[in-house]
Amino acid sequence: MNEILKIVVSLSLSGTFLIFILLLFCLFFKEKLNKSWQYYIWLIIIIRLFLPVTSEINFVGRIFGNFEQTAGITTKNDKQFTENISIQNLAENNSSTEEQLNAQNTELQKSWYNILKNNSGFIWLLFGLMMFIHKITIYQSFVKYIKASSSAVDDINLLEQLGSIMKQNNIKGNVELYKNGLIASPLLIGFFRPCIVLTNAEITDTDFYYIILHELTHYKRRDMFYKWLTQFTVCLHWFNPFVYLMKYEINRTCELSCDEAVIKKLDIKERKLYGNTLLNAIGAGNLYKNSAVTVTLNESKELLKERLKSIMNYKRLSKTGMFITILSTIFICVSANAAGAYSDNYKKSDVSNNITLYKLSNVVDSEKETLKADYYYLPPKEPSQREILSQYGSFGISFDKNGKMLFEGELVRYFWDGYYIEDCGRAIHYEYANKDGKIDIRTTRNVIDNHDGSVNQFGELTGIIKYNEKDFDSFVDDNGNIIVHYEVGTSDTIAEDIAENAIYDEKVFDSIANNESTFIYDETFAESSLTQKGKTFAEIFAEYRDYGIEYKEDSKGSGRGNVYYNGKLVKHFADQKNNGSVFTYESKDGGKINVYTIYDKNGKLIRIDESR
Amino acid sequence: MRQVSEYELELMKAIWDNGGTALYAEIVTSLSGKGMEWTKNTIITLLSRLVDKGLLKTNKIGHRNKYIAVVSEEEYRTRQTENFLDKVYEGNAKGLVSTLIQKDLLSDNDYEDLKKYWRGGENE
Repeated sequence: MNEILKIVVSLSLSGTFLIFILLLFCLFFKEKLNKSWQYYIWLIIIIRLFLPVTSEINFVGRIFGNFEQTAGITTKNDKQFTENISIQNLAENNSSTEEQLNAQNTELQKSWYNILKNNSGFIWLLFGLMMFIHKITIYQSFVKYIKASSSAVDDINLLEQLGSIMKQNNIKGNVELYKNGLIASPLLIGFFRPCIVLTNAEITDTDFYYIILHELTHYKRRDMFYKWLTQFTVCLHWFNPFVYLMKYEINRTCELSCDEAVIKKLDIKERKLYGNTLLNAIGAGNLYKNSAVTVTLNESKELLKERLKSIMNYKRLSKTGMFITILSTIFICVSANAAGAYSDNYKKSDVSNNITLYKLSNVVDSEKETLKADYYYLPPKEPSQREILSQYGSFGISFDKNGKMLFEGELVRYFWDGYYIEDCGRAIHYEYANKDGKIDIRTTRNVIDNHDGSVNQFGELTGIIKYNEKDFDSFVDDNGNIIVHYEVGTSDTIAEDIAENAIYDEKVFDSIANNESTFIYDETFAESSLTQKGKTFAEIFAEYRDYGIEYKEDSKGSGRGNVYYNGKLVKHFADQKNNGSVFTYESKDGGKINVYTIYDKNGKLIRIDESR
Repeated sequence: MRQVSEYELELMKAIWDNGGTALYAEIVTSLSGKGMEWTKNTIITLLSRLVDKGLLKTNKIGHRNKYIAVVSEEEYRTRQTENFLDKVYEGNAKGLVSTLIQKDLLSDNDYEDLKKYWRGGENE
């Protein structure tokens, strides 16, 4: 999914969540909360709908993170597939042109799809922008229409009344006064030259006074800007039906809170007069379809009824009301913060929890009396059966009704996917164990020649094979437990331990011998790893050359070799980057010293140190 | 020329009296001298209407607006009279003058002055 799209959708989701919370609040405490609060609190939600900032507690971001992980596996597989094709093409230049053509066709189809996919966010935003421009155009033509059919009020008495009300209420700026025969009720238009437009109907001085007071209150509170901000938000989230609900609520509470602000200073008698004015101001119905964003005196009969009711029921905020107000405000703010959004920040912290990590256990090969190392990829999460089946299902893997893995109908005791590293152990991408199982199995994979002297052993899956009985003990420790390298739920501990010690701690790994546990490889996270496409150990170690590290590969091109630090043979090399990704390496011929990397806080490698 | 309301004309007079240009404060002083204590909103509104009608233009001096009369008082009167003559007397000046004399709208002195002015015009 496109980044912009993800951000907008996550903001929308976050906002929707808040809209519901706020509507619930307003429903329960309608009478306790004052109308201005009910009006301005929406600003927090608008901000939430706008700003792609997020905090530690991130509800929506989490949802998105999970979504991405599942999606990530499939897209990555696609990518690998195309890469494999191109690698093959490179390898066999003399291969049939038909194959190349096919590959090109796939590429072409993919490119159109990709253009659309990559720009979906942009198209989305463009649509929103077009909607907003459309709204502005409608508004402009409305203003034009009103201005053209209006006449300036020349009556100096009315002008003077307007002026003195402005003075009384300390309203700065300049407000024009017009009369118009085509509008149903008085309204306020214009951003830079605000203008109160009255109807042509003869009105009493009291009505005039309250109409002006009402419209000036709108002007003073800058309701126009609020309405347009709302309009903009609605256009940005045009696909979300709930933002329209929000817009409706804002328009409604706008009038209610404006009334509230007006009657605050009035006594009960004056309030009645104000109510009368509202009633009188209702015209014969709108002559111009009022779809534009304007601040009118009256919008509908239902709203008017509600307004009159709340005018007569107006009470000053009680102590409980105050308490509820403060509490609700805090709650909404906290929710707005917690609801979060999808953002890069979230992604970063997500990745650091799902680092590629390998070289975890050492198994003493009793025959050769040498250390054997198993390397594995720390999984982002436990894979689902579906994911496992999609990977291995076509090679005879299935599950019984208890969720135990079967291979060609037989209960599996131990299964691993990966490859043997010559003399040194295994690189494990996925591992499964069940102590009640009967057979041990492993995958076989193609070896990809990288054409730079190195090979990638983790090629296309070609089959799953059974171990012989005589190998049966090699996966069992002295106590008869199956040795697995990963216990679900301990990834954080392992990562932390590694971070602390900079080199692996055998104790941790010894403790991870469990009866049944699984993990999966995820190619998304294999990038910084041993099997990264085209990246050989020689290339990886070249990055450390300036810090005294030298790497000499086995002449057989097995992908194994020795690491030297200032000329001394290194036993263990450990590199933990600030983002949490760990790369460790063990020299083929052992060695006496262990070394680890030191980074500064900006993530720049500063030196390599020798450990105890 | 678009019609100017009586209050707008008062503002124009205040500006003409000030030499054709005036700041807001000067207009206020001039108006209050005539007993017209208008609110700021009224004055600014009327001034901007005059700008819209093309009788004034503004010139910003710092934060303040300087209002400059685009037409002089003389020009304004001429145009108004022409307008009036066209509308009411269909361009017949004689009719206008006869009305003025018949209804004693002209004093004897005015009449003598007018005669002198008229003859001077003939001699040219």
